[in-house]
Amino acid sequence: MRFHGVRPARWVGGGLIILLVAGFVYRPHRLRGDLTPPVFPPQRIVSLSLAADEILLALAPPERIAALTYLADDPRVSNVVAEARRIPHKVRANAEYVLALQPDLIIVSAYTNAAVKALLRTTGVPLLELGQFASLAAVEQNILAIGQAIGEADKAHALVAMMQRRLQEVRQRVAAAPRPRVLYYSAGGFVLGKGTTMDEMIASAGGRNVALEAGVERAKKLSQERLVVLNPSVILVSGEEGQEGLRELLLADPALQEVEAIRTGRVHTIPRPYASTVSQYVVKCVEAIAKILHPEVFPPMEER
Amino acid sequence: MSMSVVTLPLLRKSVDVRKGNWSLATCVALFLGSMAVAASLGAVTLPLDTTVRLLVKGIAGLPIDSEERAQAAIVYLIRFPRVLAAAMVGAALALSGVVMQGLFRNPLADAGIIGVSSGGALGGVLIISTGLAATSSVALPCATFAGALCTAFAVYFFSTRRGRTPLTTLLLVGIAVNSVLASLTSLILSLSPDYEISRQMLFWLMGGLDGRGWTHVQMALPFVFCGVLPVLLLSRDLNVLLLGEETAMSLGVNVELVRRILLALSALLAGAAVAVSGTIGFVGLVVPHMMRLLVGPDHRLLIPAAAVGGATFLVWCDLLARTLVATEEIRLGILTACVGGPFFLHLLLREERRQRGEG
Repeated sequence: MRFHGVRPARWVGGGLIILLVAGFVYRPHRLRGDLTPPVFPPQRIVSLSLAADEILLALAPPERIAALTYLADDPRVSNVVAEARRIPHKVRANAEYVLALQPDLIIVSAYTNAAVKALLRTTGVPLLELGQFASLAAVEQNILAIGQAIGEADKAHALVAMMQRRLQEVRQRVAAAPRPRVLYYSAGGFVLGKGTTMDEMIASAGGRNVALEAGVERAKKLSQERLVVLNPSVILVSGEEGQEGLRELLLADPALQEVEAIRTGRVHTIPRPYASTVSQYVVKCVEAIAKILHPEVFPPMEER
Repeated sequence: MSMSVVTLPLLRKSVDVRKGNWSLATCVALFLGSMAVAASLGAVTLPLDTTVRLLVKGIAGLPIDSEERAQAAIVYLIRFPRVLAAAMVGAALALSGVVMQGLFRNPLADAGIIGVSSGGALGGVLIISTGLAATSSVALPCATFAGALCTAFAVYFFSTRRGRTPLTTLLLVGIAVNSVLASLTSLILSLSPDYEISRQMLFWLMGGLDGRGWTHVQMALPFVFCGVLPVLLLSRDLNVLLLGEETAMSLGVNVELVRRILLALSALLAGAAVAVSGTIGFVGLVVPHMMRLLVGPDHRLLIPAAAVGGATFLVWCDLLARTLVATEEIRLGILTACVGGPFFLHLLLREERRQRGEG
């Protein structure tokens, strides 16, 4: 077999090589040209974290917020559904969409996609990265950091002071009460232990987190056997309003009938937006848990 | 005729070389056009001329007006490197497919199907889990290359006897290798103590070009370069290999050595692709076959054509992935599988018919 006239193929091959060499030599750089001077306080803030959404809406007027996350108006997870509906844009962590909004401050969290954060950093738009939300103190720090970055430090301090006052109030009221053994249990058998806000929220609400006895750090899957051995006297699950699927499942599970919380019917649902929040709404979650754990201290008529 | 049945489709169609050249030229033009279109479409759609102007300004480092900065940042810092990464991954996967098909003399060989990509992914997950990937930019592609290389040689060892690789053996070995590697990958994922690192691994494993930028392009370039250049140089030997082992030897080709080099090169290309985008299936299967229809089976034409074709194919797939649904990205692997899955079945049925007809 003979082949004729494949020279153009060599040109293409050569072209490929040249392209690759050019890629080798070329070093991408920052954009040159006049930067618009940074605006302070920022007027087009974009948040890429639900916690930042909740905090922002408490600190900044809506006209200064260009976009929130797509979760902000989702009633299953958000505490700020109504307020968030007034903000025109909802975004995901997608660098193009974020930049298209011409933000002057982007707030991301430790959980935000690392590659997207790296891309956004190269564009020179101010970026505030919130730390891990692993404790109530970290939540407070994040509130103060956002306040600082958007020029609303006073409001942020006031918000933190309000949080601390209400937490202190709950702690005082439950201080004398016996501390029940509590387990927060989520779908799939995941429980939260040391280094989580849930652990601190249970402690603040006057309970003992039994996940600590099992040596759980952060989130871990717990087997049913382990759950029976741990034998918590209260089980907390999170759920959407009106849907108590997980609670019913646990109560009906024949394998768990010896667990004290199941036997006594002390399996309680806390609204999911409370259970998953890492903004100032942790206070509401602590109050909700305290009412569940210590109904004697919080009469059912009391509403705040 | 001593030539194995499965080699025939690779050589059967004799396309006019002149026509092949024209087709190749068309592919190059299409590729360049696709790059420009892909760089101008997205969250903000810009006219083609503005896109090119902003790109040139960005690449050449010319000053940019402040009112155009946001657009320039999108085009030059975010979208264009992603398009480049797509082109590079597509070219690498298609080339690795061509080489494997020629090497195994098997039209269904592809990095995804025989497990080489999964090997790369396992290597990548290992290096990410140790934290080394974060400290050095060559660690990840080196690891994916090593994983792909070991897998390629294992597959070769298990499925090839005296230069022959029966179709079913190769596919079955692929299934076994893929499942072993996937379970090892899951093991590492489930043992990882750090939530952040597991998330990072999962994101990378899912496959796609979401969030890929200049750093990824630069990370993979040396590896792609070291793969493409020798493959281009060895295209003649690939032609000779297809004629059968005895013929190749009589023509003075050191068959075993060439095979090993080609196998390593295809692993290098697949590994580089995996390092950038995670595993993306079927590109190495679909593109070479399409290009064979266009330019014929001569590897001297086919190899550059597959590189250009693979690049074009993935640039378009990625464009669809990021624009089909507004504000939401479709995973790139879903799109390539939608095209590649049916195509794979078509090839499989065709091979079966042929073997029945001739056997």
